[in-house]
Amino acid sequence: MINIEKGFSFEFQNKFNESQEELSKKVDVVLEEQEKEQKASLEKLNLSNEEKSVFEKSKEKTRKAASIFLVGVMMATSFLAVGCKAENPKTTIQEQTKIEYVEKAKEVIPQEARESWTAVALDSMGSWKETEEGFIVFMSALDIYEISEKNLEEFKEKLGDYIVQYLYTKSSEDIVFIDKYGKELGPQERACEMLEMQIRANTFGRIVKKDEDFAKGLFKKSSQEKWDQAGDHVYFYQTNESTEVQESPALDHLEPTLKSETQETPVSPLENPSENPSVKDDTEVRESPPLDHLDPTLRQ
Amino acid sequence: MIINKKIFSALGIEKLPESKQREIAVRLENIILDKLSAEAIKELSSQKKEEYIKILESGEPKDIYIFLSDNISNFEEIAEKIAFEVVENFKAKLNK
Repeated sequence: MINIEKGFSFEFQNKFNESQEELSKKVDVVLEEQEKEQKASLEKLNLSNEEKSVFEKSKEKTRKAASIFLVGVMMATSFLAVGCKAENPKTTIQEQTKIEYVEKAKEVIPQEARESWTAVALDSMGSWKETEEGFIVFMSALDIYEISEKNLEEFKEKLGDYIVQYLYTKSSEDIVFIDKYGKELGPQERACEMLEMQIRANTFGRIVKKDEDFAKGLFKKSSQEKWDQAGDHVYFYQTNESTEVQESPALDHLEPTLKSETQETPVSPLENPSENPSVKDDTEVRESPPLDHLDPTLRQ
Repeated sequence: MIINKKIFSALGIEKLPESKQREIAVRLENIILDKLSAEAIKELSSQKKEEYIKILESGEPKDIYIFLSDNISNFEEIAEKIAFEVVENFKAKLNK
């Protein structure tokens, strides 16, 4: 009896291994076919040999850039639901899946991380001032926007949802990622790296300018005159234990090309620390936030 | 890895060892990303294409991301379409 069971188990295991092997081979064939198709499609792009060579050499950089779009797509649309075999994800499961996903992300990503990254993202959009009706943000001389207090709360909520989904999505991936300095990053560090890239690229400022996604209908175009008349500067990123405003660390390494977008008068205090008495010297040791892995204060 | 464990079963590869599943996901994701960067070139005018090639040569991923965001208004839609097509194509070929 025992032998029969063992024999059966052995036979079953053999069949299982065999089917695994077959599937594995089949998958390899399918992937090779898709990879070949992809390479062939590159030939149709009408690129010169020199351009082709640049394209090939920059593959990793382009993949990183493209992956930011893809993560956005996965969170914002039905890609996840499609993967879960939803019959009609666009109309049925998509909304429910999205809600469940946001809720799960909110559970996993600590509130402190959500709040601090949201604040950093807001500060990164430009200079902010208070007005009688709410707030005004100066992105460039041509891009000045107003938002009511109520709408700003809604925007912060939506921006926060996006951020926790982003951190949650990227943190749940288990691939090793090497940053530009050659350091190996864990999934959480990688998530922060990618989010920081979006912030530095002024993704959130752009969605306001384009009046799309979660900024839609919340901001309205304003003027230099209104900006000049507005009250005090407002900074969203603050430490937990003090009301003193600190420079947003995620912006410490802003590239000059990005700086120029907001360098027209008035200059953001974030970019001109000498004009902002509350901005601390870079060499000063900052308080450690409660969340070492997800808080932007450590991303320097 | 954007194609993560949650969708392995939908791809029909959940029976495979975890290391193989990861390898498949990475390869599939690279196909999507390469297709996406090729698609970007198709969408750009010849003048913008030259600019793009220069950015590819000397820029950081962030610069590439900014350039594509600024110059291709519906790039996220394109990304969604390509991701969907590649995954569906893989599933269809695997089930043949």
